[in-house]
Amino acid sequence: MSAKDDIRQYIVENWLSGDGRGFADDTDLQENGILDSFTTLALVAFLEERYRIQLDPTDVNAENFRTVNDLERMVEAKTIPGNR
Amino acid sequence: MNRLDQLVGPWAERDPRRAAVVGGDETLTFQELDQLANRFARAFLRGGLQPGDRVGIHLPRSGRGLAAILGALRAGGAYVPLDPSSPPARVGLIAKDCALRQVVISPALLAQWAAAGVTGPEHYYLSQPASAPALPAPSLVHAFEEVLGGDPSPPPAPAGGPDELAYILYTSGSTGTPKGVMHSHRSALAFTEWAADCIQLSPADRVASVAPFHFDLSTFDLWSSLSRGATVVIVDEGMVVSGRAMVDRIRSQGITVWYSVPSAIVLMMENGGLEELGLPTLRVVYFAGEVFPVKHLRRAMAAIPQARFHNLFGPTETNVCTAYALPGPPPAEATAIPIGTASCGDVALLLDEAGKPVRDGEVGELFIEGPTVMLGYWDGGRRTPARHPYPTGDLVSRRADGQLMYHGRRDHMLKIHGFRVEPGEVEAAVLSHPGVREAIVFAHEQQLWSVVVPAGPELSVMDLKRHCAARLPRYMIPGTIRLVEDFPRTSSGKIDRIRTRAAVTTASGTSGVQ
Repeated sequence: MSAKDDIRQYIVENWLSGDGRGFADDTDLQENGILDSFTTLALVAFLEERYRIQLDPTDVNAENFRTVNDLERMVEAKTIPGNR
Repeated sequence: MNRLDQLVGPWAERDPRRAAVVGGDETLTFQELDQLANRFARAFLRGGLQPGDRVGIHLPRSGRGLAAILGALRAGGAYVPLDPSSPPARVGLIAKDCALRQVVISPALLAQWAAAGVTGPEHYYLSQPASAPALPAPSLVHAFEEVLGGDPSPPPAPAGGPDELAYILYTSGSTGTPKGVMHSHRSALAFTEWAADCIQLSPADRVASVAPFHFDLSTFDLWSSLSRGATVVIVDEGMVVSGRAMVDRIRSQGITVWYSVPSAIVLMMENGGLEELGLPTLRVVYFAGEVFPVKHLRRAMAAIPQARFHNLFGPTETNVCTAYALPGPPPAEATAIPIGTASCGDVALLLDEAGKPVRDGEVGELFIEGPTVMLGYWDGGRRTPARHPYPTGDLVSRRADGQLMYHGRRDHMLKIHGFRVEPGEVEAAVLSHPGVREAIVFAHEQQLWSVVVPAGPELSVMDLKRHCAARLPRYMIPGTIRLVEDFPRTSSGKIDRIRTRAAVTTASGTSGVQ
């Protein structure tokens, strides 16, 4: 499963009660009330554990955490060897 | 000193170049804060501000925001802090409710107002240089440079005394719309001066501003600090979501006094490395707004051993009315810590349903009489004076040693990470979606849940999230939404909330209430 599928599935299972209708990879997670400060934390913990990456406070910003597409981009940039 | 707007002037004269507010990208000295406040006051007066008029403050927490607040008071008005993370529709309801005629606003938020068609105020003052969007007449947008170019000397002192309205804080309302809590200069100072005295706050202190301005904890951060010449250090919205960013801010800024909900302190332990790094500069931790679980409180006190911890308690309507200075970490087997004894000159009464005092050890409703009690509610443009003594709705008992213990609410009000939420307001927002037939809202494990019976098969959880996000501030959007075919009913046909709740919180995934 790609990182994108993985992240999407995590969000749908945890915060949409498994109901993925209407949720897309470009859905704005903040404007649509999915991410708040506490769900953001849970998502950070999930990403760090799942992809064995370390996210700095500066990584946790509105741009990286806007959509599933943005999250995937960030995870990929972090998992490139030598870029961690 | 009997009005909030008088607190800064003496410090600006005595020590003009010392930092009053350290923001993310801007530091204001006491003199700069004082002068910017005067410029704002003069701008509001030019805009036709009359004594008692409300001025909206809608921008991220910053020194400029504080100067605008001070300016509103110096012009003889009152300030209404608006939540920058609230959807424009809800902000618009509040602006209308208290008839805001003037607003200080960031360019980004003004763009949101314009896009959402929110109108009402006549004068919009931008909080930073930017090209102003055109608004339909008679609305006027004033460039930041226009405020900045004004006369920095004090405007004529307001005629009103300490009992005038100083601010309105809007909280969640049980009837479906936000409700304004009005405080006077006197009721604000009763708390903020007490809180400053209690910890001997001085110009050597650096006080964190963590709470949003529309949240009542912020009155300590601003007014207690300014009263004693201490420096306010803004811990901005972006930092408050990260335990590590908060720990870094406290350490790098040498913050000495911290006041927040316990959740923020737990966050610093869970993902901020607080226990490894320590916070050597902190000497006082005030906390309020929710119960601090003993387990976490013990960890925090062990990690910051030099700091004195205080549990402050009170609804927005009474500021803080009881307080407890912890003599040391509570024992591991303790199930709760006291909320303390009456503070700030208040008197605490524990009364039963018939209005009779309860005996020690018995649970009664906490009534408060004294100087911290609000003026009243601002609701639908009408002022309703506070009841005296004020019934807090909190269930409390008194131990043999005089300490008060908290036992929950007598109504449905919920606390989510310290923010008060009326489930009725959230239910009203969910029910306003045409695809919803019935809905209930409750809290479970520090999260809001909504269980919904859809009117048809088209309704998705995503539809409801989006619908709520357009109407409610973020902390009021249900984190978990479950769609079910029907509710279990009581014998009278009403929704059985207890059974519904038990069924959905134990079931996993999408399985509904059977």
